[in-house]
Amino acid sequence: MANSASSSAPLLTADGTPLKVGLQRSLRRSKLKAAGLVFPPLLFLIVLFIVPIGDLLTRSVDDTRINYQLPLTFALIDNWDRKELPDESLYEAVFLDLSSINKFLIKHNFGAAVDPKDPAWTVSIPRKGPYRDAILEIAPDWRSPANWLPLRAIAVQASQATGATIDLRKAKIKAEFTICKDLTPLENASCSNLYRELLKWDGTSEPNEVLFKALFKDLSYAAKYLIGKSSTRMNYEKPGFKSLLKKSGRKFEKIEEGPYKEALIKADKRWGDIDFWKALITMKDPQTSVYYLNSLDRKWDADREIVMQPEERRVYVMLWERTFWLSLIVTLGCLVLAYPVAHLLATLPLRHSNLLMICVLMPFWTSLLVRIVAWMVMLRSEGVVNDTLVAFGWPDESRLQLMYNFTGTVIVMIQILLPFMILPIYSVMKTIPPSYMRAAQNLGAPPSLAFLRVYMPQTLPGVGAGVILVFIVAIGYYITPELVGGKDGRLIGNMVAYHMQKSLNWGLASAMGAILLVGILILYWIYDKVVGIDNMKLG
Amino acid sequence: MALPSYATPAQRIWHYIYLAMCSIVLFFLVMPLLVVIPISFTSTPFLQFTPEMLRLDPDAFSLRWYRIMMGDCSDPGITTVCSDNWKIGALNSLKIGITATVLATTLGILAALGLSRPIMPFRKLIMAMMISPLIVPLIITASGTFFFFARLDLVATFWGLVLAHTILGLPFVVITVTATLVGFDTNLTKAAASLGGGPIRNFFKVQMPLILPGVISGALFAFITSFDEVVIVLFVGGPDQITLPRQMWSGVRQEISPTILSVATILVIMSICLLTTVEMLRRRSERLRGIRPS
Repeated sequence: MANSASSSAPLLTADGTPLKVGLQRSLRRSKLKAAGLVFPPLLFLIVLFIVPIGDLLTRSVDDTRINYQLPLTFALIDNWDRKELPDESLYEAVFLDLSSINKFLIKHNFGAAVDPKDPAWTVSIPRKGPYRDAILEIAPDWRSPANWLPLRAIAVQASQATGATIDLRKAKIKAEFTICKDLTPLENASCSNLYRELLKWDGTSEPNEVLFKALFKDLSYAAKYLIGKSSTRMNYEKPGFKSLLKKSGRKFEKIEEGPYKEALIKADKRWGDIDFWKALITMKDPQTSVYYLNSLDRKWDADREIVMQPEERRVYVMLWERTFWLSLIVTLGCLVLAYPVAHLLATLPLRHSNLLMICVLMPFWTSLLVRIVAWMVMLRSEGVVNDTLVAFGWPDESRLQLMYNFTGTVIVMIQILLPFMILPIYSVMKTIPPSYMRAAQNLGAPPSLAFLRVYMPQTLPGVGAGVILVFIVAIGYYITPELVGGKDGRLIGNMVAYHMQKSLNWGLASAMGAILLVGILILYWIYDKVVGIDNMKLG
Repeated sequence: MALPSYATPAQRIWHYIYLAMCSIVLFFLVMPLLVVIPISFTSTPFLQFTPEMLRLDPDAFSLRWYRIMMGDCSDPGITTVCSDNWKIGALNSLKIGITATVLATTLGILAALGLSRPIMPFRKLIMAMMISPLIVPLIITASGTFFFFARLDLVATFWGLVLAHTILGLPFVVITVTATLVGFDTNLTKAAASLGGGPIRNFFKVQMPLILPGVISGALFAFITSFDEVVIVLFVGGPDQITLPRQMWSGVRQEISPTILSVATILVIMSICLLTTVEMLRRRSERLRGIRPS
């Protein structure tokens, strides 16, 4: 009864504030404390993990660099009707973009917008100099020493580095790259001439011909580098662009003046092929879907329809399928092998199961590379498995090919991922009272039926957890297929690595990574629904 | 699990098939690792059991590949590259592993403490994010880290590798410490606070000793992850940053010599020690929290 009496007046805490307010305050304080604890690790994770992966994903659609290559063309290309070959103005734009791109680089530094009517485009820089007047005509800002000083600061700072000879050289090389990075959209061009001359310059006097010469030389080098990169990019859109640009580069040097349309088509008849022009338009946007299409063996055709790549260029769909099937086989293989072992571990008395548990956990704790090395010793054609077979009378000349193929990858991956399957199933089986099976049999069910109707349904959460976990891990595998997979055991992860390290097609690598990531995140989400990530346990 | 005495012959047969299947699987799990150990003591350059070894001829066994691993190149018969790289690699891996473990453990404990509080906004989302480095394929993490670290000039530096490995180790610490905190009696910290202890002192005097087993096993997981990691090292590390896994990687890709098996043997023994430690810690933790093994 005392409760009903006090509920009419607000409850007060010891210091006189209403209880409701006090509770809210303490709730808020508790929330803040929890958030304060989580904040540093979360920030660390976001900055060093989430942001880099986001950065990778932006690369899969990023297409800005080509805009540095063809600024004039892209400024004019929307005027073209796309029905027949473009007119003279577009041909002139392409000619200027490809033959005198260093002019754009010279201007770009000061943030000048691209104006097709700018007379600077037609300024010709004498190949043997003098460079100063021509460059100043294009971009007068270079007259002021102040605009050279930031570049000089980079060089000066690097020249003052101390340490071992190798460190000094590293500092110099880095400064040469940094200068170029400031001047151009390129990360890997080296401005060695500017570095040298900027150090000789005192920083106050009027920039002289020597500096302008260095600027011209480095930017010309950067322009060549840029055109190489661009032609690779254009080749993804339409095969043939790379050789077209290479050939054009040489021939364009001989073209003195217009009309450019005839001159270009004469230089290479592909400039008269409308499909190349249509391909140019698709690259205008600073975002592109070409990498996603390519990673699924598709492309845009000249009429903006998505079509399959020609037969001989199709690889990725096959790889996606192979990755999927291999992961599925590995997952099912693990399940078949893990289920009885988990059951044995769960039903044995603790004393015996501990020793067996160590057998399960030992591979889990052993270095992945050690396990792969061990499998190589086992599976080689001169390996333990084959030697044993031969010792038991297997014909010596038909030793099994167990490694560097699909089979090898499956065998090794099953062994590596087996603990991930055994442990979740085991932990669920552990909670099933053995009396359930006895009760079922007591009620007249034969053991097989009791197992199917009573025991197995209860293990399904563990099976689900193990299956999803193994599949997630298997689908992104890289190391194992790389080392024991040979040619037909390669998976999508290996293709990502190939495009990252060898072909340097980073856009495609990122797109494939993004597709893989989306698939994995969906599985992760399902895992959370089925098992709950809180229940993830180790060992 | 013994067979009841009233089992039918069919049940008996099935039971033995079942036991045989389990033995084969366990054998499949452990055998490759156990095969490596005797072969690493071979005196020949071949990666197989020679007839002499099978006859247990003492001359067939030697420590020569262990000597080569330690950088002793005086062996006249060596055909493989002999250098100090294994020692350098082991040292580098230890340095990177220990630093990354310290960082991951500190951050992981903070995260686990926050996530285990009764009221935590966006708890599930944050937990999912914390565990995601475990789920995202290494090749994607490595590619992303490479591009990002290139901008920050962290590529080919010690700290670059340490930070990347810290990220990989973090989920393990979060998982193990959160698991230990599940059974934690919050009245203990309240009691400590009522007795006048400050929050930091309370943490180290009351909470830490109880969650220590989880912390140590999380730290061991984080360490072993870094110590065994090769993809990030290949992408983010410089050519002169040799680590043990990287040296093994290049050894496996060129030509496997018994030297690699010697390294593998040492690592297998190390993993057995770590495994035993973690198992003992887990039991201690269960005892401390009053959970009796069933």
